[in-house]
Amino acid sequence: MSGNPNAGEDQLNVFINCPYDDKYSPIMEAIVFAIIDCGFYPRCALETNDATQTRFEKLCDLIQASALGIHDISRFGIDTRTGVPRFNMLFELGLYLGASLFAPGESQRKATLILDSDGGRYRAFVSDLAGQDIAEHGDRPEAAIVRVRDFLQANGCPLLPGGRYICSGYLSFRRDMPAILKYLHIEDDELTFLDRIRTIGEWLQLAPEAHAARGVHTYAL
Amino acid sequence: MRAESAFACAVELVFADRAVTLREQEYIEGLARQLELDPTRAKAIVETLEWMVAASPEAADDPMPLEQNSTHAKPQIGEGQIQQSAIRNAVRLAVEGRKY
Repeated sequence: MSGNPNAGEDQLNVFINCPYDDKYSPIMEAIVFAIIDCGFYPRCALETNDATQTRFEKLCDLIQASALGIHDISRFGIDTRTGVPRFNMLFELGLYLGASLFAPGESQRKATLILDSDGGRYRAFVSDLAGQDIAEHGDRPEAAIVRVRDFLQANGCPLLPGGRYICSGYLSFRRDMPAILKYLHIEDDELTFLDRIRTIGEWLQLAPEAHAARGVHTYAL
Repeated sequence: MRAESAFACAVELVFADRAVTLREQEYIEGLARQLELDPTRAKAIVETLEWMVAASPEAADDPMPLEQNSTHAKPQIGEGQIQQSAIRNAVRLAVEGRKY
């Protein structure tokens, strides 16, 4: 396991399965922001660097610890660097759906949000998902926030502010980020996943316009 | 040397209440310029005093140790992670110092 003290709170853990490239990072950060602002805890393979675990073991641990999962399959396509398609997101989605379906007890409660840039595109490359609701974000961080907020509201947190309100908080956070990074003496792309979570958590505690579902999480990592 | 001592006294006074605000930080930087101290030397004095206060027995009992209020975040403490207090401090300074 990752050693995260919140790992036991599986109902609040949200497993994020998404690309880790620079182009996608604004959407990922928006998703992480929305999760934290709604009082949940983002979990992702980037949070651990335990070399004794295989990547598959890490994924299994994270999926086991998370009652909720957000899967973005928008970057399925030919990787311009390697010339072959990327299957990791679909693989992790399949693993998550399998865990939800077959594992006994707690994991049967797993709920899933599948995101794509275009809501109907999946039929062309993963038609087995037919019947699942695919939420569209159009490659826009603000749209991703709204989708994540709606998903979390439907799965355990009925009292949340609207998506636009959370979006405005996220935009304020982005305006503060250059100064935050300056004081930390670090570049944006050098922040680790856990540091970003901490930064967002602190900002939600300190910024006057931030909502944050306080009392649900303390962000005391 | 006398200028450095005066500067160190001022910094200690600022640190005494355990709350270094952005305005106080600007004051410290302005004072260093007024005294025509070498910026690197001034920074070293501030950091030394900061860590001396943080390491003092009083700081151990303080529910909000100096480091949380410090303007000198110390990144990369252990396995590439930044200390929570450094992040809190940076966020606080950024929010306090908004220009928009």
